Amino acid sequence: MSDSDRPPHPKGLLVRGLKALGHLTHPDTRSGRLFTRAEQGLTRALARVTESPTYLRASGTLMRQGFNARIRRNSFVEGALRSLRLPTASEVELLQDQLRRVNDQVEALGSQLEVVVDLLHKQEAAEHASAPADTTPKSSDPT
Amino acid sequence: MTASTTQRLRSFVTGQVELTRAVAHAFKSRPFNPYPYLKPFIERAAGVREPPISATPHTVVYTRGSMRLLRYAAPRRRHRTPILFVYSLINRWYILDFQPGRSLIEHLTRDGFDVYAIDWGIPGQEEERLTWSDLLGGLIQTAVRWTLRVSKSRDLTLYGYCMGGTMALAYTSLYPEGVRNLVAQATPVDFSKGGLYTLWTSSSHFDVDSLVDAYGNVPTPVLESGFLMAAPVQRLTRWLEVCRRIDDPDFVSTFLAMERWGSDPVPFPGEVYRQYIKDCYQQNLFHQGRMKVGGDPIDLRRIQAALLNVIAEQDTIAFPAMSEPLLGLVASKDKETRRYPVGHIGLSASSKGPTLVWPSISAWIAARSQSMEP
Repeated sequence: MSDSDRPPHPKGLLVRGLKALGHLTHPDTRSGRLFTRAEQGLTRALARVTESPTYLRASGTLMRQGFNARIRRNSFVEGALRSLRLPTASEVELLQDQLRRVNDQVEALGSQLEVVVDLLHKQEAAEHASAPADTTPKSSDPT
Repeated sequence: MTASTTQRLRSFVTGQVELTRAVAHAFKSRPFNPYPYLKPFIERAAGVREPPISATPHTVVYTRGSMRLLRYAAPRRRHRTPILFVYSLINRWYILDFQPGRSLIEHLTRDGFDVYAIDWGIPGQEEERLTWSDLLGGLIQTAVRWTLRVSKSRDLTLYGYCMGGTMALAYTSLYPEGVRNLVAQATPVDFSKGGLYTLWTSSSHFDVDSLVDAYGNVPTPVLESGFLMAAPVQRLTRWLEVCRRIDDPDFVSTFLAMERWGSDPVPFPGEVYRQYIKDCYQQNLFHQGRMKVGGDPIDLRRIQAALLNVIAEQDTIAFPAMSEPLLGLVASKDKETRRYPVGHIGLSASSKGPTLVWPSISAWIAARSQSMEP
């Protein structure tokens, strides 16, 4: 069925709801102007927070603590799984990753083979072209 | 109950089940980006589906680790000199081949260029220890060699985008052989002008070592949270425009394609990230010519290839001030800056691309490329 044959998409409740939301927040409407003002105010306030030294210091400290806790937890979990001779999550991920890479490499090998065949074909053609010239008797030879 | 009523009822129930399943799936993976939560509603209301990723026909030429080298052959090749795209490690390369009719790669192939693009793939454990030296002297250099081999050319145009531009500049500084032209699109060079990103990555409150040591590769939620915090309100309110234009399937599908790409970051290789943040954002060594890769300094004065510096005037990721000093740092005699009234992504995916941006860039490259005629 082509695009022109397709019946128009039904205007359901969802479409009407989304359109109403769009209309109410459009800067041309009264509610939209209010919304735009609120949006600008919130943007300014958030910018002030995210650029403040206090926020940067606090978030930096929290992040560092979180990362260090993760380093300790990972090392504990992997150590425990290894002692139980069970595959760790990172080992399973590595295996999945290697399978994906093998798939990509097979695809690339196909293209690379085409390049090689192309080069061989070119070389073969050049050899064919030069072969008759070598066997032609040199009639102009004075001897 | 008539057959049509049954059919409508069945369609309604199926639709609701699909919608619920999609939203439940989004909540299960809990990304920061609003795209997976809102997409099912917009798709259902507009009756559109996601377009395919990178629709321009291409083949995989080479692969190493998670990296793939893709070839987009020209329908009618006119230029001997191929183009090799080096994309950023943060998002996926397919923004360069965004949608049919709105694709930089498709545009260049139609102009007769043999185009290649590096897809960095999804870094796994093997990429955790990848260094800048492996990246430039290993992966990019091999991609350059394969591009020259397959295209049967002696030199190429290296086209870097965003952080890919920084990598392309660093590569050309260390390995200038084979690089005939260089295009640096929205490329950060002076990292002290990076606005919020420079502030947030400052060494006084951002401990990049503990992040890389904890995760290996930098996970996508960490990268996503940074972009979200740069414009948290607009990240949500821009969806209101799609509500207003829900009857316009072209607008909706383009919007969804753009949001899908934006919500598809990949983990950042850990050691590369560590040096990138320390040398570029925290100490600005790249701009000063003091960043070292494999013991060698990245000195942009060694670059002599023809250089086009492409700046997006409304860029809020690689601010114009970050790219502007480039021409003064290289030794190229043929160098030029072109500015376009678009945003960072607009250079590759906006409606102005096919009419304003790409013909101008394509003409610059064509004038400096070898033609196919003997």
